[in-house]
Amino acid sequence: MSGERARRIEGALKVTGRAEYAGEVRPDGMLHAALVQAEITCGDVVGIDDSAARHTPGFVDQVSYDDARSLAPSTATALIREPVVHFPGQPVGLTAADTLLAARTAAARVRVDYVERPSVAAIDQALDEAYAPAMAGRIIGASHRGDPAVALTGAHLVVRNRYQTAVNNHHPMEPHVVVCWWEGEQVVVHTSTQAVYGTRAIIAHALAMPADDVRVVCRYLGGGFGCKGQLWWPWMLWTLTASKRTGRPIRLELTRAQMFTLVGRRQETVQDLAVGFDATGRLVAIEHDVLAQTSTHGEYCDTTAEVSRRLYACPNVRTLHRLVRTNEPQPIPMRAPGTAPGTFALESALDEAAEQLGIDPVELRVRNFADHDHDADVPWSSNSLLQCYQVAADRFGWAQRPASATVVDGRWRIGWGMATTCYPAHRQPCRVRVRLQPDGTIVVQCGTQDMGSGTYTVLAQMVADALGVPLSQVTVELGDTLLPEGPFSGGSQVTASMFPAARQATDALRAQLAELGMGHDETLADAVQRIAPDGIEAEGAATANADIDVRCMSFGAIFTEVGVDADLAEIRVRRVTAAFATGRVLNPLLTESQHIGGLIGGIGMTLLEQTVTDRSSGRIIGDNLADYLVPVHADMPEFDIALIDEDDTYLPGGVKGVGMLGTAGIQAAIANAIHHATGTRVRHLPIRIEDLLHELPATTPGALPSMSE
Amino acid sequence: MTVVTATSLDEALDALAGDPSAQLLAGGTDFMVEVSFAHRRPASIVTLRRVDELKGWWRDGDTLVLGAGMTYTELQAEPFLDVVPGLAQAARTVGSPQIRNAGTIGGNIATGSPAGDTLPVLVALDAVIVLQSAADGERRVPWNEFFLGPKRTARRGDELVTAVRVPVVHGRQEYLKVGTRNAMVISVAGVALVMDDDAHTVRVGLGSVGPVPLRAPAAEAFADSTIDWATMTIPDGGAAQFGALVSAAASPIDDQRSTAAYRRHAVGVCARRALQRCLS
Ligand SMILES: Cc1cc2nc3c(=O)[nH]c(=O)nc-3n(C[C@H](O)[C@H](O)[C@H](O)COP(=O)(O)OP(=O)(O)OC[C@H]3O[C@@H](n4cnc5c(N)ncnc54)[C@H](O)[C@@H]3O)c2cc1C
Repeated sequence: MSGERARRIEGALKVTGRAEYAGEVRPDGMLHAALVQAEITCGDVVGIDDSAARHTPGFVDQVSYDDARSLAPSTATALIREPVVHFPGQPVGLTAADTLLAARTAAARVRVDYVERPSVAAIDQALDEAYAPAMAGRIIGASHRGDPAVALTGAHLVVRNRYQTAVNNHHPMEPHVVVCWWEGEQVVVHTSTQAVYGTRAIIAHALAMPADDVRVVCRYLGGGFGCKGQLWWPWMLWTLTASKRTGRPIRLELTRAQMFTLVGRRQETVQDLAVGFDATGRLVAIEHDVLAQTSTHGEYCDTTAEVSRRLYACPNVRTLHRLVRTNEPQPIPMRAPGTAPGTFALESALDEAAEQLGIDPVELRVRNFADHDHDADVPWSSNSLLQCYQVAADRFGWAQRPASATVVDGRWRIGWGMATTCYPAHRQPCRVRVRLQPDGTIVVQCGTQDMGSGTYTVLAQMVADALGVPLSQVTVELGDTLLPEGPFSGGSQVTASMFPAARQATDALRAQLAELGMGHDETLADAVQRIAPDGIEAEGAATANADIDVRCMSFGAIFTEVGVDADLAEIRVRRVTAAFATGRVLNPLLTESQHIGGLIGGIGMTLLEQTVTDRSSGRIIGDNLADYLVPVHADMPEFDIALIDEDDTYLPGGVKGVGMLGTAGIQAAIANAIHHATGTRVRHLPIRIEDLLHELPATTPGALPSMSE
Repeated sequence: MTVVTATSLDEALDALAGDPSAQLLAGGTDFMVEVSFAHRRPASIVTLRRVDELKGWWRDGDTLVLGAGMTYTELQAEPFLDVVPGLAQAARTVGSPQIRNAGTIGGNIATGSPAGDTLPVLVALDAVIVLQSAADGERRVPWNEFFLGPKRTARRGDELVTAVRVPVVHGRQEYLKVGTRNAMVISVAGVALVMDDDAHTVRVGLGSVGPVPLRAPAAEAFADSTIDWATMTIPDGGAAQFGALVSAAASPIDDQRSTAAYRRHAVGVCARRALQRCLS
């Protein structure tokens, strides 16, 4: 049932440097822009003096709040219209100059006067101001079913703990960039975005322009992970203002340091979780309280406790999300939003329970399998989680799992752990155009974009399959608002959204050809020459899903082996075996690659990544990739990925999303394996050497173990 | 900003003599980081990449002379790999392939960071740094007079590091490094161990556990006298004792990458393991 293992069709363009990324667009006469950033943590901007900046050789223009007052008020434009500093480093102005150096020099010479206000630089500085938002992502912020308080009182076993996760930043290789210019009343915007249409809508609204006068282009992306999902960086609008005023194209590219503050972050969480079981290991109650950070200018809440509502069968569940506003950057979705921190807590707690109940961790999960969504009380469109456990456990060799803290391999103490992952399967509206060219080749167009995940390839495959032509005959065009409107690249939705639209388009094309008299054994190339010599095209349009009677989710089971250095406490993930059930797999190669990439991101979150802020000023400490550690190749284990094909007859084409799955679950799997290796339970992320240090022998002479290796 | 692309040693020395504010650029892997962070704003630069006299290595009697321009890629490759295996091992732990292609041993020495990965090996080898200036010609400075503090060395502004001299030693060498991830990382602790099978000595160099790279004299003396050089073995508990003595020699600090206590512990563990490897 799986599709072809086709390689990325745009791969050769990328590795030979011929794929043009937004930042590589260099129109004639282009100016460079730089941001002037606030030096205070919280307060008002009361004066901007650019007289010194204007004397910088090459200086052309300076834009700030005054120049943006005419923009339409919205959450997107608030930060560029209202002279209020919400967090340190917030842009208060933009300079444009002939060279990047001149722009930056001028920016450094802009004098800004502030009136400072007291700030809150960490969530624990304003706990009494925590509030419960109405919504956590797409779901209601609080939930309640049954009577968990009573059920916990009567439970055979209650595991009650606090779990914490750190702030992370997305850090795609390619930073945010915009190159824009005006053509009369129309503006052309090349930018690195996960949403060409979403960006167009925000620009058109802000500038009160007809959407058709705004063209947003992003043919290739060097990653996004959520931080390019919407217009999170409104300062981009200042470049449009400056470009209009100067009549010249402008380019603004964020620095790596700015990527820590200006384009969102994964919010930190403090999760209080209680899970209660009966003597047979069945869940009787869950209480999951999440406290997280949001900014003073916007509200964002991950769906952190959602997993506790529906991953397992449980009659009594209460969940609550609360937020604290701090003078730190705005959190936004980051790969596996909600499920990454949420599964860390829930799947760690289940491991703790399994040990205390004396039940194998996999068996405990099987006993609590939810045969339908208990939260909404609706059936799953499909749920192959039990098969995921079985396949992954077999391939991993879980049945041979030794007793805790007993296995040693040279200097390594070995541990095994596992966890469940899940992610909702959503779709967005999508239009796809398919054109049969006079020479018999096919052009497919969709105004979505390829984050690097394989959207070009999988769309080509859908159309090639449907029309019965080889992949090499299909050309795909993406990343331009001149193309039919496509979905934003996020939430693991693009492939599932494109599928029904592409199928409609190819069906419509075939119907047109049949009407024109295409013969049964005629090839498309022959037919088009004979009956439509100018070529022929058709469009398909599909709507978003609005599932009420059924719940659609992808599931997976992740198993891992870690080593903890017996003396140095270095932690290495040695191997990962995972099984993922994501409906019908259209391209196993790209799907595996998404899972591996997701798992790597999750390993980073578990062992390395942490954005550190100074607790008095809220400034980021170590805003560079030498201090903010992401995993490198040498940190990577072997990955064994099993794809469980599902026959989901509810979803169009049986297609679910894959991108988020691997980035959740892995955190708890690793933490559980570390516990299995060392006996130490770490309930916060990232888990570092220091957390396992007390396991080490003392260093006083004579106290070291003798030569045992 | 002026840039002199020196194509000979004399040209580089003259440029330095003529403009004492000039800054030397070799691989640029330390230099450019400082420029990016605005810690360094050079007005004039003398580049060394085209200076042939700084390239390669050669023997001078019982001494090996390593040109300051040797890159990590050269240090870790045949044939040098077998000549000073400890340096090759250290080179392999540096940065990424791109950094190893560009970064030089001369740059590592001149930067003089206590975390520089070649430095523990060089100090274990009792290296002598060769400096040269247009005014005074060549002078040779032993490592313990060269490294003065964190990123502070005895090099004068008009001097170039032209080479580093190390003795030819027969015996096993090891370099072990602990970092916050498995590659591309600044060392939290580094230990070099050099065995001299002829002189029956063990020499230990320590990185990231003091303001300058350190030696561990008590540990060395203990190993020299405890190892059975005929069988190349050490009595039970000897390696652990050796590690403990190395820990005692460290004088580390806490910083954002690690704690003093962990660093002290880690050099002891690494020293024990290095000795065990050399004796296996
Ligand atoms: C991503 C990255 C990873 C890194 N990883 C490591 C690592 O793992 N281990 C490690 O030890 N280092 C590491 N470094 C630091 C750096 O690569 C090394 O210190 C390298 O040896 C510097 O050599 P270079 O030729 O690039 O020196 P440059 O950057 O060109 O120069 C460094 C300094 O030395 C001076 N200088 C250079 N050559 C001479 C000379 N012949 N005479 C006098 N002065 C001179 C320069 O003026 C400058 O002050 C890393 C750097 C980066 C950017």
